[in-house]
Amino acid sequence: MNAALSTDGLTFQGKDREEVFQFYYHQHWIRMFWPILRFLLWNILIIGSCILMFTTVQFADSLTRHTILTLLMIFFLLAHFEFIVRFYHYLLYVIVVTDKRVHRIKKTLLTLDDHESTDLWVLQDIDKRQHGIIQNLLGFGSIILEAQDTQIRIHFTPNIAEKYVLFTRLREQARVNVSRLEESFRKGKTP
Amino acid sequence: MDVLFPILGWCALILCLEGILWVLFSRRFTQICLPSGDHTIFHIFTIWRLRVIILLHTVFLLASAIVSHLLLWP
Repeated sequence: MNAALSTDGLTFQGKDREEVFQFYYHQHWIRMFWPILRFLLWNILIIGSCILMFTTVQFADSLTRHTILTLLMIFFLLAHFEFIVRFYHYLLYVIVVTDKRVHRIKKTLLTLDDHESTDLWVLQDIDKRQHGIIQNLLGFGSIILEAQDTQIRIHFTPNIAEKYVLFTRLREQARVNVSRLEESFRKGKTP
Repeated sequence: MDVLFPILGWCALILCLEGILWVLFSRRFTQICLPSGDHTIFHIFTIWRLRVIILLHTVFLLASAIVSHLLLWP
């Protein structure tokens, strides 16, 4: 089940051969707001220090100048690579919805490789939560999928109103498909 | 001429780190392999476009290392 299977030109880890892809999404871009802001602030600080070193503050001692330049370079690269890693992690967290299941795929570069799948037809409740001004203004929030013994919380869902409708519609379709299957199975069994 | 050694060192470090991170990321990302049609603004980041962005970012870092050392090291 965990092997990458190819159907309908779409391949992803954990997809069943009979599943039909519906939609996928990453978390809302607001998730990257703080990393972007921090990245920009570090850049302004470091580039500003370099400009100051070049124009106003002249260090006569070459050792001091070299040490400061090396430190600035270390912080500059740290800021950049920390941001890249966060951006990669952002892209590696995906929700994929097929006609049968919801797949939550969460990976990091080295340490994490999670894949959580839930059948749509077993979902009892689909809740949409948008708390606060920012969530309501930007149209994101949490979708909570509740089955009998499991609960999947998908935070930072973008266009949440649209996604909520899609989830609900797909669940109803999945239920209809399952009841049809059961009915045909019962008819096949009875003489 | 003594500026050459730190410049080469930083350039090698930048290339190594960018390369390692890209290899790790593309290995993971190809397992997910998503189609187009997402409604979030990040759907523009296909593997091909990401490769170009990372390449540009590497060039920017290399240029920053070279320029800052040429101006401030001597």
